[in-house]
Amino acid sequence: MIAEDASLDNLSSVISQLQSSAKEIVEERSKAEALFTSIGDGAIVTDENGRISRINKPALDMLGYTRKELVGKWFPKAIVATSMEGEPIKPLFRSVTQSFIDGKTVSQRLCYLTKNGKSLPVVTTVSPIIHDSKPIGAIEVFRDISLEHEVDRMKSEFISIASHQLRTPLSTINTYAQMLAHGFEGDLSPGQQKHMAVIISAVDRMNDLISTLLDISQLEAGKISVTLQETDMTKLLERLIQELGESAQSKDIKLMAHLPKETPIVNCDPLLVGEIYSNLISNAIKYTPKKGKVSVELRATESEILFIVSDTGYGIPKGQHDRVFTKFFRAENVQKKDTTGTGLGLYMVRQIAETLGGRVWFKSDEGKGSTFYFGLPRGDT
Amino acid sequence: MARVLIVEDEELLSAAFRLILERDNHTVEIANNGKKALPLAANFNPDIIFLDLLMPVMGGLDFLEQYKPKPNASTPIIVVLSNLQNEKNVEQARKLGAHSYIVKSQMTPTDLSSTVTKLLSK
Repeated sequence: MIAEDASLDNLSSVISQLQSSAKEIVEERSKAEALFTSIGDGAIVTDENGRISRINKPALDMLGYTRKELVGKWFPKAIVATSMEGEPIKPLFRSVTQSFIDGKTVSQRLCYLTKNGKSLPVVTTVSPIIHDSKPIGAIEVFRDISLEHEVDRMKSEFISIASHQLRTPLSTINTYAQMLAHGFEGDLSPGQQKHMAVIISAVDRMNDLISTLLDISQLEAGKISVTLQETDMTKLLERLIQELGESAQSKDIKLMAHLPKETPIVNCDPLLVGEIYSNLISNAIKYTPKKGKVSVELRATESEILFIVSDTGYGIPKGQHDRVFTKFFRAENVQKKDTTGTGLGLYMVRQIAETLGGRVWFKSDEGKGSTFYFGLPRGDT
Repeated sequence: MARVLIVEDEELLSAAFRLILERDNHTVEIANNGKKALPLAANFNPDIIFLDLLMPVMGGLDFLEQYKPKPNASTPIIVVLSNLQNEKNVEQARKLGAHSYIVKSQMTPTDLSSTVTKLLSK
């Protein structure tokens, strides 16, 4: 009898514990639900097959669907996505699929088509949900970037118009300065020639700046088209080294080239690749003091063409390394030495490298020099 | 020597181009928009036309669309001279018959002279 009472007591204690645990689970679930629904951005949860299991109100409001219309549906098909330029994105390349395949967090800028057919520019971040070391689904958070997108478009348009307007008087200054320098109004004295050269060089700098601004606005707007052609990489680099050799000579800088014995022929856009090479070499020359060394190397690996440019220049202060490829960045130590840089060259290099599917990185020690690397995927040759 | 038509709304620039080309003994006519250039091109029968794109009244692209050389006259070579560095415009000008494209603010008098010499030798 006593034993029976004891086991009943035990049972009731277990039941009470279970009831309390169940209450805790319900509370935790309700907190998780509240957390999910309180996210201000759109949030979508999928199961391991990519089917939508949960979607919060901001997501439904942005997309114009009801919960019933989306829950249980395969995400890549239920919510159609295009690139910012309007090209459809295949399900395999959707961030939700990529995140599942790679097991990593993936971010993408794209457009979702809303129920009424409107294209909504968004930035999405998808993370896989891992439970017991296995992916059991994914969670996507997305934000409407219509306003940023429109501001970007207006900015590009403004730069394009402003650049044209700036170039109009510049053309006149350039033409008349060139005419005077070419002796259209008689021979110039050595002093006059020197002053004309200063005017023409300033016009050239202004032209370069405008071209860079235009290139950047087109790159940012995704308007730069990549024209692939079989390119002899050694020849391309040799031509650039020849063009830039003069500026190295004028500073008594030794410009050395280490080129591979077998010329790599790569299917790429020679203009865009040349833009990256020439920017990195001219930066090395510009930020290396007189009598320094700049070395350029081209290395062909199985997967990429690696371009390396090293200098014995001023280097980049350690605390500023993470800002090197940002727009208008100029290292503090070089601002004191050279006031002519725009801080746009390396930003453009990274933009073009990304457009070409390549990568760019660097190592630098202040006072010792820098080495910049650009890896271009070989693609089909 | 060539007959050159300059279609350019910036009068200071077209005057400079005239000076440069006349010094090389070419015959030069100037129009400051596409509309004025149409009858001038028909009567003057130029060998080369330097054409700006952005002009009041009628721009360069509209000129290219409407311009038809006289049946018996030779077809002039049209070089677009513009500061619009926009692939779409260049591509469209090419499709409409322009031979080449020069960014005006980067051009030197020697570039202008040598362009004419090169085109004449073709």
